[in-house]
Amino acid sequence: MRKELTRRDFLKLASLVPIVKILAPRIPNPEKNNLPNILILLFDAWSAKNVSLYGYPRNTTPYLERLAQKAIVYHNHYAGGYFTVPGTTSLLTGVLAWQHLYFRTKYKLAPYYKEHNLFSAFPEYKRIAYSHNLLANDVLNFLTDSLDKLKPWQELYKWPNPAQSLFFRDNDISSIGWIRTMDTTDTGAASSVFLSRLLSYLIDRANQKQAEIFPLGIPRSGQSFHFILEDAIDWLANFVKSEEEPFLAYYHLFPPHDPYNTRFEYHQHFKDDGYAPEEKPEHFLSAGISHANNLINRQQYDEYLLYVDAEIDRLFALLESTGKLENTWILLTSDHGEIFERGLKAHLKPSFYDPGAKVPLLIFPPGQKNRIDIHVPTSAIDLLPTLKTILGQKTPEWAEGQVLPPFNQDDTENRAINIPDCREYEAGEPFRHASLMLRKGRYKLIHHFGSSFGYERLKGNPLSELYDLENDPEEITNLFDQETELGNALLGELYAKMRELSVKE
Amino acid sequence: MTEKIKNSRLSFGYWFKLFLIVAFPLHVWGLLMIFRDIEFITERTNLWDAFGYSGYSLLFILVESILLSVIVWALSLLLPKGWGESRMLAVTGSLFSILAGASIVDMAFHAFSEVRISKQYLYGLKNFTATTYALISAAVIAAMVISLLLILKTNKGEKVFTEIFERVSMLGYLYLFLDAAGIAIVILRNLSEKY
Repeated sequence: MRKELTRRDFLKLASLVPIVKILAPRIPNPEKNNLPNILILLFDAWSAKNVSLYGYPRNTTPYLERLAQKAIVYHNHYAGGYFTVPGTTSLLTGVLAWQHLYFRTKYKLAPYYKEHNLFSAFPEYKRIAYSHNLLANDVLNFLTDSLDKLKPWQELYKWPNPAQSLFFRDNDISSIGWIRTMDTTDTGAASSVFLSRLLSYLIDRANQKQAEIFPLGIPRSGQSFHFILEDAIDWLANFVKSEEEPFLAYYHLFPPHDPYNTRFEYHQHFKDDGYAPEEKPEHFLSAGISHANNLINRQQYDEYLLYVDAEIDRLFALLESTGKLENTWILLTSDHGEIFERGLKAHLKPSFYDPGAKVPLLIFPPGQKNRIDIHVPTSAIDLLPTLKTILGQKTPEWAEGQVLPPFNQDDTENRAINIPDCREYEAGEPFRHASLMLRKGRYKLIHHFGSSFGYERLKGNPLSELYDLENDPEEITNLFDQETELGNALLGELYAKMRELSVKE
Repeated sequence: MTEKIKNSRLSFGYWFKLFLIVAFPLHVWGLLMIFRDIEFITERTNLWDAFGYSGYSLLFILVESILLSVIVWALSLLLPKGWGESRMLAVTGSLFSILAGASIVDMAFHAFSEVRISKQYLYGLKNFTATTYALISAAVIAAMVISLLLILKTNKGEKVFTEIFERVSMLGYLYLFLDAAGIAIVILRNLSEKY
């Protein structure tokens, strides 16, 4: 009595396909059902040293201090790099730049980490990412095989850059070409004599309404594309509310990266407040920024932080109203810090002083009722193993970091925290023009060597700096020549690590 | 109509000469800015990226040159019919060059000024912008009137402008060669896979 499937029957069945597709996400998956969501929220260039939650004299994060009452707060958390490319890549691959090799955009991510990263480590999740910052978007472009969705960066911008879409394969350089040709925002000049003026006029006109809200100009990325942080926060809250669960989402928002275009409510908030950090000696990598100018930059940055802080609070309120906080781990952090001293500018050079290297990290576990403070040094590469442990899974062997306390009961006080940077890298060759940081316990060693790419001033002599962060948190007294035994031991550890990696290559 | 345009001073040949005149100041300024940035781009990444950046900039400047030359060519339709091609080129070319020059001087003030004055400070000064731009506008208008008088009232004036633009056109070919090299670089970069 076998009945043949007629053409009509087939068409009837085929019509059900879209319904099955719509229902599919709602059908409970026994494996996925109990997994919590994970939201990694990153604010770019957010220095822990300027955060009042960590003791900064200016009250830059009043809302965060309240939110932190239900969070794990990490007081000595280090980024994986001194700017976006190595910082973001280290966080997302779980290894430092001396392994993933994406020191800067002229290099490529080591192919191994295209398939071994934070996203590939959680295949049971729906993995989604977005970045306001085009350099971080570049990093995410390397990881697309491990992602379910990479939200196009343009979607949260007001004026997309046409070069980015036209020359996708070369988006970094084509974007710079477009900006330098068409954008007069920064210097009042561009390579285009007339079209740049027309474009500038059109953008100013379109932005007129928001211009009143932002006295220093509408927030924009380093590449001069305008965005409104509120739009990104609203979108994010809506995403968490409606996204298929469980999700692992990485959101990289641009503020408080320069330019520090805060809202009018916070503009001049810290003017004449009496806070005057001491002037420090000029660094050999200095951009020549005067102490007075850096005080102005610092004030604007701190006022931008107030805006970021208020928006973080608004995001948490929105998420709370959706009930999603009950089942979502939120990790709040940054890719690198920002520095306003020693003639240095923002995060352009690898000085590795704490303002540029230390970033906030707060983990909000679902249902957390109290605040836990962690003071041992930790690193951005620790997030991957920590998330695996939280889910009761084994840390991948390739991950370089350690499980963060309190999820790890081991004594991690004296572990080494590194940040490597190398200006010129060739496979199998030792680093030639490089800056390296090693934090161990209360001490921090910074070691610079090289002869070009800004290292000319060293005149071929390596520079080693050793600081006792417990007694000298401002990193003023270099102890390297006094504590020679300790300094050389730490230096030996750094060189051993480099030798080990050199052999590997 | 097509025949009329073909036989008139608004022919393709006229447009191409106009294009070379228009392209000249845009390329001079563009190249100056490119050379200023090359060191920064090389240090940021490498020399190939600096070439890439130059290629994209030249491509965008070429597009701007084409667009503007079409606009100026179209505006030529408003000029008296009795003028010959030489006078048309002298008038449109000189007016465009003065405007381009003024725009470049303004940009150069911001880009190369030895004494760096922040925009915020400038805008903070009462009437600074209005006064400055009124003076610049007066100078530009005066220069335009003088050049028009020279071209229209004296045969020598027209001849001088025509000869200047003849030489400028020759330089324009060099810029076209650079543009072609820029396009080749852009194509090469977009053929290779980064990710």
